[in-house]
Amino acid sequence: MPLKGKTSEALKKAPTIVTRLIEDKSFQAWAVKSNTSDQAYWEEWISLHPEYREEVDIAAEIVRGIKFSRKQLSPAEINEAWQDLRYRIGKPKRLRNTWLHAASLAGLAIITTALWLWLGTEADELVYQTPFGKTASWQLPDGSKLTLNAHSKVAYSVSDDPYPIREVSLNGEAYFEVVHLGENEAIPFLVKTPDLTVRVLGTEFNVSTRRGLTRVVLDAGNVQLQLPTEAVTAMRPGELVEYTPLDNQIRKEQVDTEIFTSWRKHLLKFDDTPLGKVALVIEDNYGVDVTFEDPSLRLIRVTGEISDKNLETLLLALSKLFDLDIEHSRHAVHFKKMTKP
Amino acid sequence: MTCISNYVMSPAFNQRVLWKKFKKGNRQAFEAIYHEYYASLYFYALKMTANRSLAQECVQDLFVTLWKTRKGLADISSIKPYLFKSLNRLVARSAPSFYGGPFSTKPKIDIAFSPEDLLIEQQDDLHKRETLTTVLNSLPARQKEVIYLKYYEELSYAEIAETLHINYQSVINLMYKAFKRLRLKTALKRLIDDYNTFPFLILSAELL
Repeated sequence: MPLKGKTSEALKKAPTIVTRLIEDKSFQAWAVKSNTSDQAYWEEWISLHPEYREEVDIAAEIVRGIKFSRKQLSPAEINEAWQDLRYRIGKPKRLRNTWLHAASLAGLAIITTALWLWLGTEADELVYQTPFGKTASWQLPDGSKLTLNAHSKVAYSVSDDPYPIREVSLNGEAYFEVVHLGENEAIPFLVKTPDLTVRVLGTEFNVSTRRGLTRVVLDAGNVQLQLPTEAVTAMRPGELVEYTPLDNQIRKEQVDTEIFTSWRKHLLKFDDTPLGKVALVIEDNYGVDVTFEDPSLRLIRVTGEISDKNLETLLLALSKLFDLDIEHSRHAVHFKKMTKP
Repeated sequence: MTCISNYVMSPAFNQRVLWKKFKKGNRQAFEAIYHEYYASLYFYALKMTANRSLAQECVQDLFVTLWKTRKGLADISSIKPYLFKSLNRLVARSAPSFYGGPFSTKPKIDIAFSPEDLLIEQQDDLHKRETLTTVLNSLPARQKEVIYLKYYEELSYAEIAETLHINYQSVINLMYKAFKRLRLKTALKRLIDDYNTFPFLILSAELL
């Protein structure tokens, strides 16, 4: 036993002897009375070192410790936190056809037409795409109106086989104003996201597919959502539905739809939204990496409208509103507390 | 043969492998680490901040930063103290601006225990729990932190040293001081409480 034979001189300081005691397996056993074979030894040791009475008592209490009842989180709570984290680190995937990013907005329509002619022969597919920081509107060949948020892409096709159908696939975020088509039998309009299909006849709605989450917000009319599980959900105006295939859960709520569609008017609307969420929108729309000096800044609540004409205007508004220093380089934005009042 | 299996089974080895995989960008490894430590980290942050949203935000921020900077992280063999240390620093940085506005002076992180935190075998011993809570909360901040990490999180002394960025002996010294005070204060508190309930007892004790 390590303490055997040590003289009082060698163990002068109280913390030193306490250290030696609490590290000693045999002492630990004695302190919790789990092993009676150490009993005689330690009782003898204590009687030989009466000057350490207090240290022995304290060491024994340290070994016995304080019993806390440990709190637990349910697997559902941890999973919810994980989904939130996944959403945060889910960087927007670079869209293909990146050469379009360089295109100015004015040139886009021409390029789109060119694309149609180019791809049209094979796929009968029209492709619309926006770069970071730009939104754009088009009339689709069926008369429906499409507004694309920044860094988004839509491919439009029409098919007659086996029955007439209008179909778009979406990456990013878009607002659709779909016109009703068909005399006796309405021609459906389908929006396919990586996770689900929105089926409509004639209506106005917003669809976003950012970061592995599909979000549909319905302004007017009726839509049906078809999940990969074959489940179908109907939506009513003013409703928001979020779906991610990860937990296969649908989240539905009544919302102020303006908050989700005001981007079309170059406005970002917020209703008690944490700055952390605003940061994700900025990342998605402008292709920058947003960081914060410390996490508490993410909790600042934002309510109101901010112009979203361009990133500079948006950042300037945020810095004025919340006394923030915002550093902005080509690919990064960093939020800091204002250093001097 | 047993030697090899022991090697593979050892938690330190597993952690090192898990961490390496995570550093290479393996999402499963990252998710495994997250699920393993989220609750501990959340409750630690909650103890330090006393605010749920700030605690959640700090833990999420920690993991976002880990993921973004994974390539440059050190190789470690013990994940928990590493995460605790990072979280501790992050909370120290965030709590002042959260509580005091951007221009205030830093309030100290201070853990507060509640009677519900304590597990006391006898069911009806609420009074004992309250006494111990009061006494625990009267300890200096650093001593409370060591007690929390040792008995709530069951970290080793070496891991606590790493978490708090102090040396091993300092951890023991803090423990020693804390328990010395606890003994004294508990005894004192008991005396005062007893006096309030049975004033004559003290009197008779004094007479003896």
